[in-house]
Amino acid sequence: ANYNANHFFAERHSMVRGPYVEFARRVAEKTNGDVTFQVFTGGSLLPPAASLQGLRDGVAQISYHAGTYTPAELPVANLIGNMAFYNTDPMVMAFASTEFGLTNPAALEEWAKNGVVFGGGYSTSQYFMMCNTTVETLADVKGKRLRMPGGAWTRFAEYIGAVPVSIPSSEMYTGLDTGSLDCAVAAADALDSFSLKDVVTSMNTLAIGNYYAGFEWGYNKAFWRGLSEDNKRVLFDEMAYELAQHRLAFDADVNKAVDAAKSNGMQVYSPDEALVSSLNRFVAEDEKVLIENAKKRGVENPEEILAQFKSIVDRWDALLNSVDRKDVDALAALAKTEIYDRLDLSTYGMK
Amino acid sequence: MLERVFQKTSRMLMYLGGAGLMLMMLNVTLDVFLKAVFNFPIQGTVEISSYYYMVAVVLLPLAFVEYEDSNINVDLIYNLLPALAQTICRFVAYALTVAVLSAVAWRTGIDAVHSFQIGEVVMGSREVIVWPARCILPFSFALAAFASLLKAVQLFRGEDSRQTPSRADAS
Amino acid sequence: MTGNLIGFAGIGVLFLLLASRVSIGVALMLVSIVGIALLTNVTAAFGIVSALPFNFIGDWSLTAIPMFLLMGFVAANTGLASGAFDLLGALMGRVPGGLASASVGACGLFAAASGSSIATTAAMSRIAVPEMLKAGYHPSLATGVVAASGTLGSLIPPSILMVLFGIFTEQSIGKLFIAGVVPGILSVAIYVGMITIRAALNPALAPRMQSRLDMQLIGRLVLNVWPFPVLIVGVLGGIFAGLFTPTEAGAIGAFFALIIAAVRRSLTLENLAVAIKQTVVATSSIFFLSLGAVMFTRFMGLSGVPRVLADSMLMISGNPIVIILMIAVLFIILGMVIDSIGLMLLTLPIVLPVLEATSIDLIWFGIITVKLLEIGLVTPPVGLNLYVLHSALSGRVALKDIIYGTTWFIGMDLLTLAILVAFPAIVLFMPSMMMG
Ligand code: NA
Ligand code: NA
Repeated sequence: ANYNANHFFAERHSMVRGPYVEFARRVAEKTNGDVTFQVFTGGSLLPPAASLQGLRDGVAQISYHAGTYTPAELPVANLIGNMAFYNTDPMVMAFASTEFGLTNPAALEEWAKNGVVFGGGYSTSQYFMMCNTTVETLADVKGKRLRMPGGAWTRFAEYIGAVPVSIPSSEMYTGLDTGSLDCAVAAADALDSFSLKDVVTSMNTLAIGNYYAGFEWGYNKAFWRGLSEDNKRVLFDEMAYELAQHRLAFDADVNKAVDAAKSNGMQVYSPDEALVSSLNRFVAEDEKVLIENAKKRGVENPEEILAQFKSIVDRWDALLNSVDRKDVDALAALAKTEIYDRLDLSTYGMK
Repeated sequence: MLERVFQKTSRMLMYLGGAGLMLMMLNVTLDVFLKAVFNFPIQGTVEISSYYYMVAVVLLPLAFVEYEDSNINVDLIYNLLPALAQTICRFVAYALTVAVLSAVAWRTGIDAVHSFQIGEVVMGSREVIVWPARCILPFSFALAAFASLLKAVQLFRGEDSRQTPSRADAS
Repeated sequence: MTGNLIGFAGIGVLFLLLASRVSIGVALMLVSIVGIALLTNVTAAFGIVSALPFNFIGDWSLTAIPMFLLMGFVAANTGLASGAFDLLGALMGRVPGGLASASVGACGLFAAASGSSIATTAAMSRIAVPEMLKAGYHPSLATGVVAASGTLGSLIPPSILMVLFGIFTEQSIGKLFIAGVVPGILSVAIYVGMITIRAALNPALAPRMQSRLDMQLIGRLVLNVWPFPVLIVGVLGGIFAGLFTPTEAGAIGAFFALIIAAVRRSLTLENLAVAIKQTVVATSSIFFLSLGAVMFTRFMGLSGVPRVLADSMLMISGNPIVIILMIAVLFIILGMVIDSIGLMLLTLPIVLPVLEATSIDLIWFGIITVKLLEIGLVTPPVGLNLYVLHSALSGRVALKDIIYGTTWFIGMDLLTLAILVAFPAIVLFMPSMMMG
């Protein structure tokens, strides 16, 4: 049967190309047309902020959701999503957030409460400062206007004496071009996908977290419950594969964009010692803000949840050392044996 | 009597939307000025403008617009119809408007309740509470539905003034 | 297959509803909700109702619309527009058809402060037409020129149509604005050229004025009028230089229009209230219609109709010029019967897939679209500008004279369009400068 798949990124983005377009093609093939997704991209089905709601209401049967759009609905997902500085290896965070979303009791309860079944996580590549002026040291950053994705990132900007600016990603280009913005903080594929390479003259490689809040694949609860176990197995296998594949494709896009920008004259700076140590101090201090916010939103034991998440992150940090990180199939096999194969298909997402 | 009260209320709400308009103009202008001169933007300008001022400007005048027949329509074929057919058309149009606006009011009302229960906020450089803005939707759509209902009743009683609608100076 | 059927049936029902004078917004919402319910289920249909309105109204880019409407209505209600017409009239008094050309210029100037064609027409009809009739101009020229030049309100930035086009096609609104400048000036030049030639050949159309240039009068008018062009240059220049976003430009423009009016002592509580009322009523009705269009876009997307139509259009020809011509014919025909915003929002979901398949530049197409929609504003039977003019003059000029007068200008619009299609650089040169 035909179902709707929703992702508000553009169709050519690495988080849509493989994980949605190719995924839909293979799922249709392997389920003999039982599960045929029509992929709607760029917000043509649901606006970004309404992805969770639309998934719950069955407008889409499968969707991406950027968790920071719904802090009140997903306090647990935002608690861990805002812990973006603990480990900034995107591969680790993609696998760890997937395992956490599929297995942590607090997370599972939260997905169920919102009428969705978590399918798999993701992670963008690292967020860097891309600027129209040289930004190398802590002193350089002071007073600069940084476009930030909100949450912990905003607090970090204020912590280092910069001015956080909240504008839609579509306005980053104009802001940098005209100087109403000094730096955009985003994954570096934006140099290409948002044409920032025309206006960015320097990039600072301080890894300001990466974005993995929410989910890459969430399913409408009723849809999930109506699937046969064979078809669920197909979805699990394909998600395991695309979890690995999107990470490599995303990084490849970033490298291509950075290389193009460099040959266009962009300078790449490493952060000075002061900047790095401010980030480390901020990360340590911000944890209590995260916990406080989560408590305000009704999360009962945020300390415990954070500790559980950290142990999953550490586990993946070790696991990924044992595998060729350029080999999609090896990475996908790891996702299967360590995560998906351990779930019980007859009960997952059913209660 | 009821109509008099309704007219007064909808006019007042329309000007309340106007107050939102002026506040938005002042807030954005001040934000540009402070950004340019003191490198000190007003945090939350984008969110407050989008979710509060705009919701007020767009939705509070809705009942007034509906009652004054200022919504954009196509009266090409309508104008060619005989009087009785025109009356029937108007009646059908009012009835459909009541139905659609009530349905939208009902559904956005459910959202408003949900939003209030979870204490909905939007992300941005500051988190902004949005449930009060959410509540304006069902309120405004319901009032606009009521405006159409009043018009239908007036038409039924033969009190419809049939004034040429003052078209919105849009486009 | 059945999806397509539901989609086409939905389009049919939509036109039936529009014909029975259901407002465009309500008709779109009704068809979309029922259509999506049939395509999926009732919960999903109401899911769309729940997901779209709040997020659409809360879209930051759309906040530019009320700001530009306010700026235009303040300028219209406080006499800034009439000063511009008086000055141009004094300067061009001795040129054949000078007052008509002055009207074109004043409309262009006013258009640069107003986002709306109707507002531009309404303002200039009360100012310029009586002056021309007094000077013995033929009523069809006196009215036709204002009906047609009023359409510059959407072509010359700022422009509500461009804001909506930019949102729906994900194009930079700033670039669309800047792209409209040269085509706007070209339209003005072509109108003025046509008026001058016609008036020179047929003096009965526009009696020659004997008055000499009155430098004292001109000086006085310049002193009175200068803040208005300065405001316009400031606002448009600010967008071009990227100093502010369209919303910020609109807010600053409205703010300074109020300041200028206050300094000129032409701002009263009464005309401020009128400007505010006109702004919120126009904003509310535009958004209500757009909300319907946003839902209709989802319905169309789910039904698969745009893909079918796009495929059949591409089967006729994949040549961009042929496709543009097909779209132009479609817009001109539909533009006779449907209002411009409604028409654009109804057709974009259908033509966008075709444009993407042929990689037609969307900034360029946006300007072509606006020009085509503007022709619709002056074509009978549904041509809002004609009616605005007719009612603003309280019926002093017969509708058929107004319609006859505008046909000359529609001919010039087609000429302008042909030039823009033949030389896309006219449109794209300025926005490419903006890229730095
Ligand atoms: Na304009
Ligand atoms: Na027309």
